[in-house]
Amino acid sequence: MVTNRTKTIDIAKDFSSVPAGRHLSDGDYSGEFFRESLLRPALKEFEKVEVILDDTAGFGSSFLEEAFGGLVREGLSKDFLRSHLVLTGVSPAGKRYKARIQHYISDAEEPDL
Amino acid sequence: MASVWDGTLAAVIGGVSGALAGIGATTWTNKTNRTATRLEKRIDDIESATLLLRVEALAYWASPAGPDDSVAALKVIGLWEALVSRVDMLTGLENQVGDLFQVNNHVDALYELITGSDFQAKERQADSDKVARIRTECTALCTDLHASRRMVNRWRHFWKRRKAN
Repeated sequence: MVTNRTKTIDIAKDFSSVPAGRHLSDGDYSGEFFRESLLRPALKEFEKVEVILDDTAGFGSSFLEEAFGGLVREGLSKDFLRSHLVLTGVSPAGKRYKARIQHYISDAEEPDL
Repeated sequence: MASVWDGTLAAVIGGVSGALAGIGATTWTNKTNRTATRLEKRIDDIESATLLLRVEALAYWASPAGPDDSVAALKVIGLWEALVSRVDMLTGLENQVGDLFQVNNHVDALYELITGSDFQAKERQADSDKVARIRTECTALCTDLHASRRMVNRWRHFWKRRKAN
């Protein structure tokens, strides 16, 4: 769903219900591919991006760390992500994934400029 | 004559009050027992989920990536999610089962250990160090669950003792 200012990415519907792996070489629906094909472009174009984490077959930490921690390593600041990225997880696992992603973002090292 | 009636009345009131108190205490104890049994069952379920996860995660990391790797990985994630759901069922019951902070820390640590690094990678190698750490983390989680189990039992026996007294 897209409004002028917000884009919602439902991973299960818009990407894959079985996201897996860290790098492009790990498969068709890796964290790196998600970040580069959907997440980063959306963050550049829209004021807010909501990512829905429910209804997939689950995420490995390798996928989530690469997709979200990778944003920081690729140059998006943690403050920018705190104000532009909205994570939604309703199920117990979804809530847990949300907390892990916040942890990956705050733990990721920002590149030296 | 009046004092005889007063005494009889007092005895009747005393008897009825005692009976009511007894019924109340029994009802409360039974309710406490039922709650304790339910909580113990939930703790058992968490322990079972941990053991299932342990078996699959150890098998996954004891061997390198193979043709069934993606299925095995999904199974591991599903078992971790099942563990999360079961731990979540104790949330809000900390008065009876104790602080779940450590249990939750172990659940997160297991997630990082099991599904981190080369998880789901095409060239994943077996990792004996990871196997040992998963084993240790699962044991630590079950040890912390014993603390919750002890607390439930202490709480149950407190009411049993009160009833016996």
